[in-house]
Amino acid sequence: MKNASKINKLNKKGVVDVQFNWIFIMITGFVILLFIVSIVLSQKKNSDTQAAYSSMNQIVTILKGKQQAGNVYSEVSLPKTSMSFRCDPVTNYFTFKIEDSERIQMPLEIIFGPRDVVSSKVQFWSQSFDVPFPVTIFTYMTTANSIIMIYNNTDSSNAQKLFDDLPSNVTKKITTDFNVIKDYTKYKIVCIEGSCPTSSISREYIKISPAAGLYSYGNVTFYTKTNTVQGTVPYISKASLLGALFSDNAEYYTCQMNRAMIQYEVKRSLVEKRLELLYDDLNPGQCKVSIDVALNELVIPMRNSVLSWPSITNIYSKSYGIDAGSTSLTVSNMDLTLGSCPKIY
Amino acid sequence: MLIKRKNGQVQLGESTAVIVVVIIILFFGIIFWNKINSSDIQKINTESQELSVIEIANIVSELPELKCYEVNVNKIKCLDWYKVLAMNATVNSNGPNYEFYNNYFKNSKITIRQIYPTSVNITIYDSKLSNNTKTLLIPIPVNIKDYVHKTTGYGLIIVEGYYKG
Repeated sequence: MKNASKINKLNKKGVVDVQFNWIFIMITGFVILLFIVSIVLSQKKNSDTQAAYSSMNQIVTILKGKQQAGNVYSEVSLPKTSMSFRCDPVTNYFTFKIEDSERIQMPLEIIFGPRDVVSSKVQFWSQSFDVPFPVTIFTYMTTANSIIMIYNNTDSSNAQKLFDDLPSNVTKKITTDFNVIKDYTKYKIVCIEGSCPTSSISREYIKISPAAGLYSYGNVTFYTKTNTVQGTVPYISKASLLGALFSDNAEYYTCQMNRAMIQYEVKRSLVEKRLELLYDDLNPGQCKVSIDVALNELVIPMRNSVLSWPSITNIYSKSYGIDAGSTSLTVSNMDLTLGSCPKIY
Repeated sequence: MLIKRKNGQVQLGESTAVIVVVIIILFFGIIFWNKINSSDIQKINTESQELSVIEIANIVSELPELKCYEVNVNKIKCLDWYKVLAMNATVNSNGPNYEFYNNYFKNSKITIRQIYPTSVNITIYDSKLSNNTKTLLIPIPVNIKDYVHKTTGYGLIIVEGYYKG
């Protein structure tokens, strides 16, 4: 009996040994599997990050390249990518994100376009924002599946001019037939005051109301599908007007213009300081007088024009201030050149 | 019975030894993997910092706030002396202009060194970093125009980029 129970005990130990071995093997196998899976996952994450990073680099390089020259058109072809651009109206921070990557801040670039883009082909175009000294380069962004429709029911020459000045690579039509936008996922309907739809069109559109010439200054009204006003914002110069054309809404446009006006004040202050230094070093004579006039009657008053991008209540006074100052500076600059004097900008 | 019991103990010992060896190999594998990854990241980081200094040097020489206003077809860049002085006066202090140009010039010091007709150094931007370990220095030859005295001198744009090596 005793022997039988001993044998039984030893058999049980053997069973425990064998089971223990299997448990060890399973644990080890699991650890090895976990290690391999973690390597595969980290590699996948790395390659995803790299792909997003290289796409982002490509876009950022183009956007930064645009900062160097005006009136340049370019396209980027990518695998179908989602991008989001945000401009914070409180902080004026402009950020950009591609897919699920980290949001990156773009402190200098002024980009007008849709806030969210999902496309395999993105089109960029740039215009220099000069008043009249160079302030910055505006970049306009659109996609191949977007259309700009210029609504023109009165053969307005301004509408035709606007149509002609848009780059030929961007999909654009000048018509009164709304069927042209049917095949596109995004559209922008634009009209010039006086040649706009007379009744509700059940589509979003923007109305341009020039105060002087089309490209001097005025305001742009954004309408919703129900024909209610979403916002009325001022524009100054061609570059700024085109910004409204490419922007998703009034808030986004205003935010980008606020950022542009911060740059305007920096550049204006440099022009002011340079004129002061020129005035100090010039010998008495016509050049000194002209520089003094340009400084005190044009450049310094332009300081007060834009402490922030004007609201609709003071649009005309402030935009007019910049526009008038800009026109006078152009004339003065030409006069200084003819008088063999140092130029203002 | 004793032999069987010993066999069982040997098997258990072998298994434990195998597991210990495997764990040690895995441990070294993880350390090796991390080292390779971190050295790659450091290399990429240093390269990108060096590239950003080169980028700053390119930006400085092309800034409309510093360039001569004539359309220049020469290979040598041209700076307007009074624009340089204006930038020195307005940017080189902690005001809004400094904050704005910080977006362009980041952790760097930019000096315009006039060599001829007179030797003058004008610092137009200085991030004043002292704890950084390395600097990359890029000199770019430039013409410097003085529109008041109607002279053209020459000098250098010196870009010193601070970065952690």
